[in-house]
Amino acid sequence: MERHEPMLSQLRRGVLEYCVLAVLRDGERYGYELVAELGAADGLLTSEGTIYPLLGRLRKDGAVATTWRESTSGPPRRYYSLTARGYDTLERFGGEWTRFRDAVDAILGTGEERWTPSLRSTSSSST
Amino acid sequence: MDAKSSQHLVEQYLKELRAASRGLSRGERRELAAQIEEHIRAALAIMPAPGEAGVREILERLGDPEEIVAEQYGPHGARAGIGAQAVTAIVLLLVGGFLAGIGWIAGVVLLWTSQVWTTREKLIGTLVVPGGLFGAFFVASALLVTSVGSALADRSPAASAARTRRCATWSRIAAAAPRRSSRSSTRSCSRS
Repeated sequence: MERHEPMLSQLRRGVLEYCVLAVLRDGERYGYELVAELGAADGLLTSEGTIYPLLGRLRKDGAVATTWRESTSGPPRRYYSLTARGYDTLERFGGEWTRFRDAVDAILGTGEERWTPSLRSTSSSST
Repeated sequence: MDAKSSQHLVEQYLKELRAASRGLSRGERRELAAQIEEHIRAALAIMPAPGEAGVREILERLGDPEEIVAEQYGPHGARAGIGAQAVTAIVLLLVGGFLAGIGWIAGVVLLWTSQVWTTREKLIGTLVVPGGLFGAFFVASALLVTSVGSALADRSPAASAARTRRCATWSRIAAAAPRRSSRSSTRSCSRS
């Protein structure tokens, strides 16, 4: 487990921001809610705090917008929502991810279908 | 008592976070601190009986402040932006030497305590021009003084005798192969 940590963290760093955008597609969230939802997915978020610099960057990039809302307990909270730009980014990633995942699965033999030259054309049209 | 130590734990954590995010821009740093504070508050609000153990758990799940910053910005937020300390260091390294040399030393101290640069960059910053512009100024004036000194020495009788010999050689060369460039050099010799 410990031995695979660097590899996992590389993978996580690559996909985490798209997972954040995907959660926000279902509606705005405040930070803690987002963390709780992502944390429920195994292995996606090792230290919860790492989500916050990422949210800061996504906001700067214009993929995410923040608004302040009153909370029942304590001071107002910042809510994060997906912008049109964030939506586009997510859509594009979705397409790329499917291709990427299928390619890796095919080579590793971890997918539902083993890679064979004849499958190449049919698998791309089936998705 | 328990509430007090919980408060202390949170403050300690936020202090570590501020230290870890020193390399970030002011805005990024402030935003990050506010987000983390809000997270802690939200997590505490839904805990039935927070207490010290609860606070510890929340902070542990948040993760090491260094790690939080490094995940997004690299170690110490190195390339995220240059803070006030870094700017001061650069200014002092450049012109601090004019402040009786002490300014440059202060710049070196700021340079080495900063987390923005790597050790190699710090070495370069320290050694390339010790004393900064003042050092460069010092070296330049030293060179100027020696060259003026040698120019003055050039006016001595021994030096003019040597120049006459050089001119005589040039004139012979010019006579053997008369070209425009050599003619001009003979002219300058005859004038001197």
